[in-house]
Amino acid sequence: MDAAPQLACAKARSLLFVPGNRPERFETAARCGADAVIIDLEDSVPLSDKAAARASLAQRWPDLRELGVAMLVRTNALDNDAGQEDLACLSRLEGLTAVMLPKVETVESLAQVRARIADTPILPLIESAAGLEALPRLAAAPGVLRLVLGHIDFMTDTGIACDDDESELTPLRFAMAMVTRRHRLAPAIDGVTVRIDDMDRLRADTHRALRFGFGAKLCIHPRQVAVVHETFAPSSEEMAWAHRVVAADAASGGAAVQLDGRMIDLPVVLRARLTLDRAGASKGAGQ
Amino acid sequence: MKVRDLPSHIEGYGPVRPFTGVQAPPETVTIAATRVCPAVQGRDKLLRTIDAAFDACGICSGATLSFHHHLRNGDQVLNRVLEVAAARGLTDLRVAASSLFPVHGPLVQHMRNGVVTRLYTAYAAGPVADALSHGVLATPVVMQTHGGRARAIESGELHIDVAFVAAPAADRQGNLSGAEGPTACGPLGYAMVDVQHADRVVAVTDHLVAHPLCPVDISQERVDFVVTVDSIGDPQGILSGSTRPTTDPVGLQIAATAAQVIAASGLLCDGFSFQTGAGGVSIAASMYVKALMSERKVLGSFGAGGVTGYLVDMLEAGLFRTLFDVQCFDLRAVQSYRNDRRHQKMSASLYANPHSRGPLVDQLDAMLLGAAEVDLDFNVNVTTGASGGILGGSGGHADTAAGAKLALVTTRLAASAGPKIVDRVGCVTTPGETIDAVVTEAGVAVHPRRGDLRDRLLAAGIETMSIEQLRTRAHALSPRAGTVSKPKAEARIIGVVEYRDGRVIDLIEQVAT
Repeated sequence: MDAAPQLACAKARSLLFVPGNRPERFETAARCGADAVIIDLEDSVPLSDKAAARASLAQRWPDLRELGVAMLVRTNALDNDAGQEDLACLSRLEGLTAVMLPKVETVESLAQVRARIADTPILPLIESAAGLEALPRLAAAPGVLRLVLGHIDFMTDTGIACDDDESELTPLRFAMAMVTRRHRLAPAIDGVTVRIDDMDRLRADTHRALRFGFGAKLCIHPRQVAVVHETFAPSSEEMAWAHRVVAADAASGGAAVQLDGRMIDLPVVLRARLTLDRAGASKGAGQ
Repeated sequence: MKVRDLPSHIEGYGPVRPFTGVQAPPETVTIAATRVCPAVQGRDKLLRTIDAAFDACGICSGATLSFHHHLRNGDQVLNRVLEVAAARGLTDLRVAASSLFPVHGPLVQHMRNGVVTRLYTAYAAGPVADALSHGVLATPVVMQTHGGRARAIESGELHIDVAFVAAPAADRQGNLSGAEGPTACGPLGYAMVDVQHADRVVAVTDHLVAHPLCPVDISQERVDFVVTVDSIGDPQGILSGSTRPTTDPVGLQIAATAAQVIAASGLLCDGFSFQTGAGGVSIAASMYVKALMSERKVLGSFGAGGVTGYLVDMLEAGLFRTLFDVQCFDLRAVQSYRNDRRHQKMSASLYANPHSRGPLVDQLDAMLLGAAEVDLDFNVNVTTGASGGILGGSGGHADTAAGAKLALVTTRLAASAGPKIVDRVGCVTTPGETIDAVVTEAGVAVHPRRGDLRDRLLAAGIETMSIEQLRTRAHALSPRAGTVSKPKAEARIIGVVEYRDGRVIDLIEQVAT
């Protein structure tokens, strides 16, 4: 639905990266069905191209805004000149949906963003041990919309080597889920699946994100978007279950009842209602 | 509806007119005569200090001084004026402030020292609210509504000796603007009432401009003196407050449901008028309403209220013909007020005074309200918290609920302090008979007198449940005791809650220390 961009960003299930130095791909990215597009000024843009990327972003921005998709920009980290120049560039863009800030470890870096672009929500990437330690403070900081896991950089920072299931990162995902709930942020966003041809891997990664209560996944190729949406959408079994729970609850007048031999009490009912709400988002019609 | 047993007289307040249910206004009312000291041609209104204004106005002990809250938690004027009063040895002042924020903490000391002994306000938060709750004053604080305050001032029930008006910009003849200067805060809707009826009006500004200032929010024939100071407030604090949409899934679910209820109510058609509070769920709901209006190509008539950038977005998207603005909540609203003729100022009286010739709340279609607690009679409390202490106040809550065709309360079932749907609210701010429905994450409860609305919701596929069912759910979620046990008969009354027409709707007792 055509909700305000900020809500669209809060509810987005797929956020597709497009390199900032490939302006010819911006519009394609916006039209491939992703809930949000992230124009990347960081890792996908070589240092020598960064100034040109900013210039083309600024030039194309008015047209990009018209595409009706939530548009984010990932800046460079603020401890280098590129990050500061990115902020200067973004401060001149009207209608930016949100800023994705990499390698966030302190609330001061978030405050720097707010000082330059006051009303734009921030999506901090948690990509280091220091970021993990700072999570409760980062989640409580003004302007933070939802947390993002940058697991590849996190592994680099910490020396943790993961197998496909990334079970080593369970404590990190759990911590992100908890501070998200504690500070009532929009559901966290899980990191990328780098194997762009392996849809089973992508599906498994997305399922894991869902199990941790994450609400979205970063995508690096348009073909990943549909799989992410399909996996985040409640299955027909879940939907049937949710409808039956809500109906049983309505019929019981609020007393705990049994359904299929299981106790249906209020927490179950609320979970069913959220499932139906998630289905509404999946249909692209939150109403 | 009788909300509670009330004494016929309260020490320090006077005779009590009890609230017995919403009723039509009297056929006629009288607006009090105002004493005016005509300007003397050639005499300068400009004063260099607040102290000089006390001399010029002849402020004595026992006087009633009024203040507005347009600078919100950045206001420095109330503190500076009362500091002068204390230094001059004045006592027994009555303060009529449209709202009080944490920044007004120094007022606590003035209340302890007897400089201020009586207080009228529509909202109090922070140290002042805590001190009042613990009985710092010997007389009860009078908690009004925004419209009720305007009514009381106009009728003379609350006579103001001197109105101090923090003015973001002023000229030396006393023309004032809220749209210019370093502390620009938007229209001065609350002060507009004070300046019409106070004996003396003192503008306090940190931004003096050449006469005549243009455009004018409050004009010179209402202003006796202009005092210049280095700063009237901190712009950061002015724009404080929760003026962002909620983004967590439960909050968004409630917001989306509220928008669905508005859509199903039949009111969302050309001419639609709308107001929300500045809470996160209300703002998120307004974004959903915006999307629905665009989708259905609805051309609304007006948006109103404390105005946020989100309402400005709706104006600029062509969804409303105009905005009526009593105060701005954020910078975007201030900019819009400055630049867009469709964004109009309104006084607190135009906004909500039930005894005016036409309060705008009466033309509201839908109003989204917050709640600290809602009870089985749909009564809403936004005045006291779980401990029974003051944590806010009506503001325009009771006014808009009474006026709007659809008054929707959005609330989570429970907060960390306990369930929010309770048997009996700790304090009635807004009577349940003026509420049409309560929207929570577990479902929607429609007031029994609105069977028509329930039918419409059912037809639209929105299931409803009884308020009792919501209460049961809230208690299941948060088993902690949610109802404040009413204090014992001998508990001291520290606050009188007035309904918008001045009748007493509830009392606030001193919290245990």
